[in-house]
Amino acid sequence: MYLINTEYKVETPEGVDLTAELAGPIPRILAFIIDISIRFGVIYVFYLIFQSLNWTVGPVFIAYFLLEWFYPTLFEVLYRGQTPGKRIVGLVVVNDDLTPVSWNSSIIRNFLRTVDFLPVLYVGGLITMILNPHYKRLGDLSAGTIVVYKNRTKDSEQLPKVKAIAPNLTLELEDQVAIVNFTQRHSEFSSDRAQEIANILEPIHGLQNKNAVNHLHGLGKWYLGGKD
Amino acid sequence: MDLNKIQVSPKKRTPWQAVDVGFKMATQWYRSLFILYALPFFLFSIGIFLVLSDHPIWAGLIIWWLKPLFERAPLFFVSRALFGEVQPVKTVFNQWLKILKFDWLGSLLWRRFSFTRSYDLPITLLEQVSGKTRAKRLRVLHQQGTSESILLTMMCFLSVFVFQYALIALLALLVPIDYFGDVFNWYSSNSIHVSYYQIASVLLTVSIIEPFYICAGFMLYINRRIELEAWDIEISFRNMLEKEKYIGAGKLPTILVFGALLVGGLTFSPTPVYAQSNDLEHQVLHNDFDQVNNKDEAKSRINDIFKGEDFTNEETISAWRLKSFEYDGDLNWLEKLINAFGRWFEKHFANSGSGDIEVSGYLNNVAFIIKALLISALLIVISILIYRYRTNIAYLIGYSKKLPLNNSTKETNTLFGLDVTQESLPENIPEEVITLFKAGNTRQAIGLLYRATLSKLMTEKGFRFDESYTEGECLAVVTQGDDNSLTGFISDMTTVWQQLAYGHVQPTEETLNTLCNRWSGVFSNAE
Repeated sequence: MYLINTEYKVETPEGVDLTAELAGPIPRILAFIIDISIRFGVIYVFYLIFQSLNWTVGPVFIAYFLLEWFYPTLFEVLYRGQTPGKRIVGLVVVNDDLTPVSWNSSIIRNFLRTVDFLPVLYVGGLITMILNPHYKRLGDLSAGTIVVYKNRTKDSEQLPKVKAIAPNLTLELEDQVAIVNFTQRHSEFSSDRAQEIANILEPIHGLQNKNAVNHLHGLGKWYLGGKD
Repeated sequence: MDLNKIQVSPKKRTPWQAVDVGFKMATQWYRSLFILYALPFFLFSIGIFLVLSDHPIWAGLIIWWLKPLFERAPLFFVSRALFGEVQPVKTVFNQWLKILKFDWLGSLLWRRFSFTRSYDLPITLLEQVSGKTRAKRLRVLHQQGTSESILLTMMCFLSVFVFQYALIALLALLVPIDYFGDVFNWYSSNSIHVSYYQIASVLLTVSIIEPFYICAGFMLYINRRIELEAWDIEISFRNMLEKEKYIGAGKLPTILVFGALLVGGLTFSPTPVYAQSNDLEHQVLHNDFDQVNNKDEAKSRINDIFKGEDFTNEETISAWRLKSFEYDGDLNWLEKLINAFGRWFEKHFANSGSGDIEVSGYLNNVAFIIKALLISALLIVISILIYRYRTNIAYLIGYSKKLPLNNSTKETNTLFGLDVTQESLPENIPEEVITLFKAGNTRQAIGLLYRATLSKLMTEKGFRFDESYTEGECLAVVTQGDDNSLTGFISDMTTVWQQLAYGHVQPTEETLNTLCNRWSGVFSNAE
């Protein structure tokens, strides 16, 4: 059964599955607005300096040209796929095999902004992005790049204070993950809800309510490497 | 609400990811969502315009003000569709007024300017709560995703503007250049038609964008509930129950002995078998799993292993690098040279007598030198290129008939792991092959014959194989050679070899004898 999601999967030749979450239009518009504000800010400061010194404003236009065309490329390649705007929103540009973006693809994707800009103000790019299953605009399509979320390292969550319990049956990986999730996210849902969920597994662990929750927390702690 | 039928892959997401999934959801059911939103919205708008035809601004304002009411039907539809219950548009329209009734006044008055509208609407419509309960519920939900939902509203608002300008810009781009100005003049005039055009384009873009807005807000809400109520965990726990092998197993203590078996299984690694190799026995890698008694000993052994060949990878890279140096001489000689050249140049070429010869003459000289250097560099590059590609150029202008092929003179020494140099072969090949075969070394016999064939093809018949070629590719090269008897033999030979090497099919003695005879017929035996 097909489930709606934004997951992007790549299998490496070694058989390792890499996954990433694709980033859609709204966060990308936001990142773009931040970037363009930065660019205009820089140009405006430049202009003010030149004007106050009574210099010719020609170089300001050259600076504008350079920033407009090379700001995204330079940042994407030299700054691990992130312009400042993307960094703030937490996005990153990668090749569509999830390798870091190269000069080649970054230049193609950013120079084709001109096409995405048509008819005006990036409407073409926006429409393509919404219609494409991988949220690619035309520049992304031709350069073979995607925009995904960068995983942020979370602070280690406070685990429940229970003793780790060695599991006495081998669970499949996905089931282990479910129990680990149950343990890590214990502070997010109410204790009533936790008991309700833990009771679902009664046929497996044979416990109820508080005991069931504690048992599952213990297992989760074990799977996370806690041994005491 | 049946969690098992949920149409979105259940997991905890960040609010932005939830917004993106909302966009996916909108594209999934876009047609229904668009009809559900746009049809009543358009009908209503046309009605208002007919009533207030002289005051388009007022009409537009009223339509905009009542806009949130039209968001309810699509939200109702998508909330059912999320759990696998895709209703026909007609069914939803039948309940349209009923959906509209709950708490409608609030959403038009004090909540009209709420920036978190799409995030909050599901609480009103689906949980049917109002007043204090609603406020309490909102406080819980708004601990996350609030800023995202505000930004979502702002971005969608912005998109409506951008789309509306895009429509007029598209029009302007498509008219002939002579009328280009007219479009803008028309657009900036204050005529009532322009107002109508603007309002119509806003209506259109609003109805295009709204389904996305509604779904994104709804997904923010669903994501928050997945987080608060651990839907994803509940679903995976229920899936676990369906795996029968778990039931009851947890109550019995089981001892696992997998570990020992696993280690035993991994230490055997098969070595590749080549036909030429005399040594067919499997090599057993030894692992010593002696007991290590104390921590220090273990540490030193770990360090030893890390220093070993498997964990170190040394490479020597040599390249030219710029040395850091300080130039303490001065560049006066260069200046003198330029000046001398300048004087010489002035004397011979420049028209002396002009007033500012001092400055411009000097600059001219520098420019002249740079120009000369650049031109000579260009000439050098061109001549190098011509020399490099002289054969190709000769071919192109018809001087030479032969296109130079990639004339790498490197000999191919191995093909698919077989040594095919002439030195590796014995003197009398058919005899040697038959001797080997009689001794029971079928693999070696056929391998030798095949190697000899390839070697002879290269040395005697002048075929060229790359090291990367497969058997099939070698055969294809030979087939192009237009020698039918040779091709036939090579084809049979390759088949026999492949069947033995990969299929482990032993050839009969008769086959081998025929092959040897044919071999002698095709190639001259080395004497």
